[in-house]
Amino acid sequence: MAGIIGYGIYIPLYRIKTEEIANVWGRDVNMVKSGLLITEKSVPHYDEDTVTMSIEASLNAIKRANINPKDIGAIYSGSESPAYAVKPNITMVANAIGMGSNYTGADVEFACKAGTAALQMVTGLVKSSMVKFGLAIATDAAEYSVENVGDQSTGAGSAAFIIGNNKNEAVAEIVETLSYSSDIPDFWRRPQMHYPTHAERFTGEPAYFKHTIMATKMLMEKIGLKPSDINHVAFHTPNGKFPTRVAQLLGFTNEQVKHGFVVDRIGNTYSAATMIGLSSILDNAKPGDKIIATSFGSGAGSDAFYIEATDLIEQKKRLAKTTKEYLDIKKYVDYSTYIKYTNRIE
Amino acid sequence: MYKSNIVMAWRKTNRGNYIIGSKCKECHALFFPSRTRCTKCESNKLEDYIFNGNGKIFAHSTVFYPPAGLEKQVPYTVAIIKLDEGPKMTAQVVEFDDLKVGMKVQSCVRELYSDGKSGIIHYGIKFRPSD
Repeated sequence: MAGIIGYGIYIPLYRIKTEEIANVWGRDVNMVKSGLLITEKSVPHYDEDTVTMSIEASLNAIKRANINPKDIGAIYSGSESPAYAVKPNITMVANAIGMGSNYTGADVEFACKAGTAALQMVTGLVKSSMVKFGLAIATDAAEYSVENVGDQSTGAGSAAFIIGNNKNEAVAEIVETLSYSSDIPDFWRRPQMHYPTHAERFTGEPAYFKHTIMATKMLMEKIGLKPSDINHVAFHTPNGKFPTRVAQLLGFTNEQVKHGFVVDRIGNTYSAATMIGLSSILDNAKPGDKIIATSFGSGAGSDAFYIEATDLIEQKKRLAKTTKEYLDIKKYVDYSTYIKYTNRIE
Repeated sequence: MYKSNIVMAWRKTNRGNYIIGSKCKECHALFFPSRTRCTKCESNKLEDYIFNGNGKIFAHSTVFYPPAGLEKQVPYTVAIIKLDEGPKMTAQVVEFDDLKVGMKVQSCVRELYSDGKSGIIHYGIKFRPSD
């Protein structure tokens, strides 16, 4: 088996309200809010990036796992905003959290599903007994150019999951995972470009909805469960509208979605979005709860997971800072400070 | 643009981003930064000691005229932190509203500075108010 031994997230302290950005660019605030279903988004401090956020999330995961970091034999990190174009985030994170040098790993890129791709890789390594414990990280501090409406939704955050094969240590068992992928040019960033480009409405039906729905349906069919059998569900959240609609299309209720839906308060955390949603679900899960998490990454693909919470969830969820604590403890910045903090003053 | 020595930078961080000092094996005195001889009992038998990263603000000052490489962080605050275990260290403090002497703080890993857009990024210890 493969189980989640520990999990942790990190969300920066700072937030900017949707209207603060919309007003600067003369946008209709109500239209932006109703279009995105995002009221505020997280803002990294000028000295925070995907490395520092990954370290924070990983330390929280280690607290819950209660293991020696040197026993972690694999570390994979998914991001589309790594600190360097060439030089892995993972070696800096592994060094900072005390993993020593006996590990394998890599930085992984697949737009917003790179984090769950890392989770699948680590799950495979643990299941095959190649490593005792593996660490999967999802992290992003993505940006659009300041004038692009996409800058209304880009948030920052990290999630880290430690996977092991001892059921007695797991807060949840990863019972099944599968993926659905195809070649779709819905969102991209060329090598020398600082900001990404997206293909407007092309990102919706043939990309996000098709892949999320296909992966989730294939998973449900494989595990033999229907939507009403599931307690919680988390989807990728490029905004608030897409996951709400995809949940309806798949037959899930608001009650099943609510704990995995945090995009309205932190924005789109890209690679980290689905795994932060899953962490929020684990914070609220009870033993035996059945959980579905389906990511989406442009390009495009979806990874779907069926997870069952164990008896240990109640005890371990209290061992590190919860998603709610990260959501509730915040400080607002104005637009000028936001531009300074995101290092966009030349 | 400030350009650091990569080898020196690597030596500082290649043991993890911990606050590592030393402990005297004879009289158990703690030191930061590390020492090779104990100033309390004169012993030269010292070992590495990892501090827990918690402490209190001992003194602080805000910088408005920074050295090269830190121009975009202005204004930033540097403090002397009295660690829980006793020794003091100097570091930047972030995420506070009204910093006061005696305020409890905890360490975190942050970007300290980078060698321009093409050089290496330097990470290290800063402090923030305790949870």
